[in-house]
Amino acid sequence: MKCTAVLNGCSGDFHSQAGEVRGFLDACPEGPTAGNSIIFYSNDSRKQDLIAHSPTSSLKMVKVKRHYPESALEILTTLERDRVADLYLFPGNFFGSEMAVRFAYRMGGSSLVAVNKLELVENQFICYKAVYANYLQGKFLLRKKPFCLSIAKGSAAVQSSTRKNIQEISEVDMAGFAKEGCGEDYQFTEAETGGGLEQAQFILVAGRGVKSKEKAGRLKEVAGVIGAELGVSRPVAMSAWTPLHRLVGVSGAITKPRLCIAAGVSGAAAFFAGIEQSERIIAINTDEGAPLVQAADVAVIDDYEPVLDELVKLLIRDKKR
Amino acid sequence: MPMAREQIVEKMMEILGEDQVITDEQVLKESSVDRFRRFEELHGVYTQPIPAAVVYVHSTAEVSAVLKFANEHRINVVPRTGHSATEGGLETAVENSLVVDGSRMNQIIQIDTYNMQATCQCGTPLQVLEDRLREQGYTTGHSPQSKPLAQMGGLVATRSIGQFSTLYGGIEEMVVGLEAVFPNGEITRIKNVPRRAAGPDIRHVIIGNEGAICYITEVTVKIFKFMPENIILLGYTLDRMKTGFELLREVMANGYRPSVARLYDPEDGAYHFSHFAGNKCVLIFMAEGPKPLADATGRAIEEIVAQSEECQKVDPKYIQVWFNNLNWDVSKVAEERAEIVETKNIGNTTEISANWGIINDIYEICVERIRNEIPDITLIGGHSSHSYLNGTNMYFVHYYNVVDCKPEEEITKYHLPIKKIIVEETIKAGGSMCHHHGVGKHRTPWIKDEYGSSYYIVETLKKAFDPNGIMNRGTIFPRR
Amino acid sequence: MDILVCFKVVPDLDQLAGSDWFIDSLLRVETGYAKTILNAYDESALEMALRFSESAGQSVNLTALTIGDEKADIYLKTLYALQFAKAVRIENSVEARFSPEAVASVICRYVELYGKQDLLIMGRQSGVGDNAKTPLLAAEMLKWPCITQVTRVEPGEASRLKVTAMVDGGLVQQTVRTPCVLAVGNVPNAYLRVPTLKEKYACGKKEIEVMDLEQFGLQGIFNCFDTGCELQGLALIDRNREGVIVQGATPAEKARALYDAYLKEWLEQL
Repeated sequence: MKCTAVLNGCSGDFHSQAGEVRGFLDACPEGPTAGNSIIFYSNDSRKQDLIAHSPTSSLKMVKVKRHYPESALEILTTLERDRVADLYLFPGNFFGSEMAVRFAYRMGGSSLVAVNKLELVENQFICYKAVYANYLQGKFLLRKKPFCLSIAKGSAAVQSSTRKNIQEISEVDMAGFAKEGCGEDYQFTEAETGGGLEQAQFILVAGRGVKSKEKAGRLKEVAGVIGAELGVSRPVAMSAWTPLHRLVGVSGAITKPRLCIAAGVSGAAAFFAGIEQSERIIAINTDEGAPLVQAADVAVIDDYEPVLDELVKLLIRDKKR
Repeated sequence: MPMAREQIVEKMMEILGEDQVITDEQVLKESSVDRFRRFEELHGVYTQPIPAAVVYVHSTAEVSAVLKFANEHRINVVPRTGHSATEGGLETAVENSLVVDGSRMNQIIQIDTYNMQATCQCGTPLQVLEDRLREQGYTTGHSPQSKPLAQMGGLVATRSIGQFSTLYGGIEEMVVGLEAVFPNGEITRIKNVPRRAAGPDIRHVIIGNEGAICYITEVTVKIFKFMPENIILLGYTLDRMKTGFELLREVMANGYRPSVARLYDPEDGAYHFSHFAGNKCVLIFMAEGPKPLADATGRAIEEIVAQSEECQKVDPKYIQVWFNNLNWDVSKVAEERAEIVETKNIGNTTEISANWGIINDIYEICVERIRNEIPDITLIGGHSSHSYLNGTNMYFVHYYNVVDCKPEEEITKYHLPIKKIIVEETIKAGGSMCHHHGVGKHRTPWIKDEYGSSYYIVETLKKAFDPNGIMNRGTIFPRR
Repeated sequence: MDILVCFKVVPDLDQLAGSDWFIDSLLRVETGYAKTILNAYDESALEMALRFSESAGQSVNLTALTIGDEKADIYLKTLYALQFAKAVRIENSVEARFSPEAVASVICRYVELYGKQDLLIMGRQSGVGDNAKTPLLAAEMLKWPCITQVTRVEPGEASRLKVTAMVDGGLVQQTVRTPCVLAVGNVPNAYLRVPTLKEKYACGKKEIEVMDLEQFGLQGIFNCFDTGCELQGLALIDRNREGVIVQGATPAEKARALYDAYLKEWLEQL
């Protein structure tokens, strides 16, 4: 089965989009073969880099004024009106999860958001995704072509290799195209970056046990001292005690560190999805019955604050040695 | 001439060492209040005098030294362990108080499964003791909603009660002996025996003293065999609270001892039960203990409830899931705080007790009056959760939006007027104004009405043991 | 301005322990034992609409719509008390967890038949299906523009809206014309406000408008809608690891035990 990947080269996360698509396809050898990539871009100076990191050797570069979903959809539908692929694969970012659904609707196909695995079994196309707030894994059979999927964030091992054997590049200039959407002005502000929670090797994540903005601030300091990136659960981020980009879980970052210390986190499944790929998990929690204690490699049953304070002392002591 | 703040701190450091004396400003601020003033606290407003220091005691001898010093210099002492009090008992009502924190005295000294008792220091978290006992197949039988936070000293000092009290009793029925330190430094131990008739039962001078008479340093409680496999849960929906009170009375009066016997009104129940009870009252029982006993209790309760046509049985799984999620823990407390700040909607509770003959009247009039007289109320309801042979308790739950007032005015505009209605109506009808949270600092205006002529006894205790009035000023006994 | 806010009442799945999960042979999952809550994104959407209504000088007409059984009624009553002009429930007890296409069709039919809505607001995703498709499909079916991951909406000039939304790598603020669909994302501090008893009593007699699918000519839609996507299996995700508990008498002792036995070595391996 032929697959077309659709990526957004207008946004700063292009490399991770491309790596995610590559990794996802590699993980299902029985699955589709990557045929083509469609890459939206707006900045000529980035073009060579985008091409070099394309997940497939055959690609189509589509120049647009800037990424605007209404226009991108219109362009994509026009370009693909003689549909060549049965499967369209979108990355797991905001762009991909929106486009997969809307594009499928326009093409009369079927869509699924946040797919973590796919299989081709006797010509049947089977997708897996987490449902029930991440407590259950659902298995779905897709029937209406084209199948439009967005990848579950973090479900693919990101493959970041530059491509040397680009065989086929076609180009389309749609910079003049503007879909009469609803927007009149458009002001982009780059977000304060999370310091790369998703790339970090060592993270400290804190949950509802954090009682105030001050305590969240203190955790930031502790993370700094022990050399970990700080992440927080939804209740902490939603209380505006830390910036939103520190949010970990299905609605935030999906991390894959080698070591994760989870402090005061009870372990609701939607949060746990954000740290479950950690190689090692240490839980610090007052409640021995908390789900996270069983989901950790090692657990300390106590208030996280005095435990972390002592750990900080030990680390500083050993650094001095 | 009262001692200066710096001098107090210096002296404390001499007695205890620098590590045990905390003067960090934020710690002191947070230590000037408990959950009663959490609306102020959430807004960073602290209206109470900030204590001179929080001191961590590590031994009974240290407690004795600190109290003796405070007594000599007339320094107010606020004893504290888990810091989960709700009635202002931990507020530092006077300048330059010392908060004496026993949470580091957290050793379980002995679990004696042959004599069925466990001894621990005051700072032992109930959860830790309970978990340790469960590993060996035993339980304290004590399970207040604050179990994940509260510690043994504080639980005994406030006459705590747990969710299984109808079988196991309140903490006063569990404590067999204890150790306490009095303001003059006197260390007293009451031995652990099954019963005694050698004069008055002096345990009760200590249990429930709320830190206003002495400092509890060690506690011995009964333990029970834990047989979760025999637990039977029963749940019913019904139309009227009055019917529910009648059924609770029938169960108790006929000699049955379920561990849990609870009755929720629709307002209080809505948050927990609307997914199966709609807008109805909910009646819940749990039977436990040895299998023949648990089975017989469960069967008898079913028969009693079946006599009422009003009751519809519900799938016990509903009750099980609710029960598994009932307790506070740090996370629930934290989430609640964020929500209060954002919505300005805050809830508190007031618990009273009364005989069967008057409980429904008290319930009805309090709900009615609060609904009509207090502004911005968003919820007024309650439940009965602890039943006795001669009566039951009522746990009123009251929520309101804080509108057009400063954080520090929330108490006087809403919380105290609500408490006043409940306390006055209860005392007028002949009930007790405090069922299990203690008097704290905000129910003291009615303490003489609560006791009547017997106030003489309790007042004399205070005068005798704390002649200088250094123990938790303004708690139980009103400030003069 | 007429605003339709769609919301869903969902079970609080975090209440269920591992042993409470049971999947039957027809792939049904009993979640009814858990208490119900507003879907978190929808709660943000409802509060967002109320804040918008407060700050708009012009009159704003709020309608709340949900599809489901009477478990949703207490939430609809609350919304009346919070000054929603209309609270509508479309009766349905058929499983619709993996039918966002059908849900979106019903919403669109409501807009076509009853609404002269200018704006449709709803959460970007809801339990238990976690499809994350309904607002997008509603926009497609209505042929309205859609803004996703919305965190804030304020009134602009000439019945325009100032919308703030998250995009990959940042935030976008834009002025938009109506009609459009807003899919609400992660919004800090968006708890739904609580009405007072007086506000509740004042609306006590106001009936929830219960409609059935037949009124829409959509009877049976949840039984027969072909989403092109068929559920074939459900399995509980096992997340358990070893869960070794570090022993010690004090927090500091436990920390030292953790450090010596595990953390020190693991940090060296980083």
